[in-house]
Amino acid sequence: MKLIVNGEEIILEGVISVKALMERFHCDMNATALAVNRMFVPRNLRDKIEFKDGDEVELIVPMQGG
Amino acid sequence: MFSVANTSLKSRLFLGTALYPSPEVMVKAIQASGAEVVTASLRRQSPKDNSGKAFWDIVRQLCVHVLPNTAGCRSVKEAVATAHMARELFLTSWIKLEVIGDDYNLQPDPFGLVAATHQLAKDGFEVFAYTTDDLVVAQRLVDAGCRIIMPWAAPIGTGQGLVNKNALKTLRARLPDVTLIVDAGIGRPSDAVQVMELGFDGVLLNTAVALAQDPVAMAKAFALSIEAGRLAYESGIMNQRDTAVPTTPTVGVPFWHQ
Repeated sequence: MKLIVNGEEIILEGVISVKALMERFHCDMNATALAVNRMFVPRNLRDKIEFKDGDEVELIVPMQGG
Repeated sequence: MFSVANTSLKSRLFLGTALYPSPEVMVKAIQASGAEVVTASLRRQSPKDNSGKAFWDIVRQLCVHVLPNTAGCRSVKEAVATAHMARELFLTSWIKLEVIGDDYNLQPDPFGLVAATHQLAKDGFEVFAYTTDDLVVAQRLVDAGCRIIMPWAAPIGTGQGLVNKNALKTLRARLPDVTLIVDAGIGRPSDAVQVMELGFDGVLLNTAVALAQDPVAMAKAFALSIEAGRLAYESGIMNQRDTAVPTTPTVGVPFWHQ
């Protein structure tokens, strides 16, 4: 399966859960927000997500800003 | 004290958190400024570093209100998704809404901005709308449910000051009951004084402090300038005159003859 995570393609063997993906990217679960195909996924719905081939995933954290 | 989005604040200076030489300087500048509202953004997680968490830990310790932004968003969909992510991460319904229409001058897209405001107001957000100095766009934002309008003085990061002072005067005069905070383009404290003398409710700036040679001192300078400008406005500034009017009494001038 191919996912585009934070703008970069990754190829995965089989399925992966949101939790596993976030762990792979060293995300702090409570300090990282998730969007799939440009739609926000609330924390309480993460375990309902089943990634499909080609899904765009954004793992987003707080950062400096003006 | 003044009230923004049902929150009482002592300072009318909102400060950005970007571009400082170091996190330590950022913290000192925020403290020197007395700002109680700081802006922040959302960016992609980098597996190589943990700077996002480190930044968030620093900001939380400052005990300030965080105003997350949707900087970089170019569509309504992106801005709305980013706002929802910000609410989950920062635990606030405040959102500085930016929908950018031009990559060169980072000018807001007025159509996207109004559409995103409609959606976010319905979703329970308090929208701080970053817009141009266009009166009609500002009115449409108010109609869409926005209580806090943030017109630019000049494009982001340019430090040009008040490029169209008359437009800002018009906004203040025509939207007397709306919270107006100038955001973007401020370069020096005298710019902030002018904004406050016009009767605006506050100023949001970042680059003018962060890129100063001494950001901490400049943060203090801006704090004082905003206070001075507000006090001047409340004191009732005299009207400008077209011709000279002597200040010294004219009666009893020596050597004067009819």
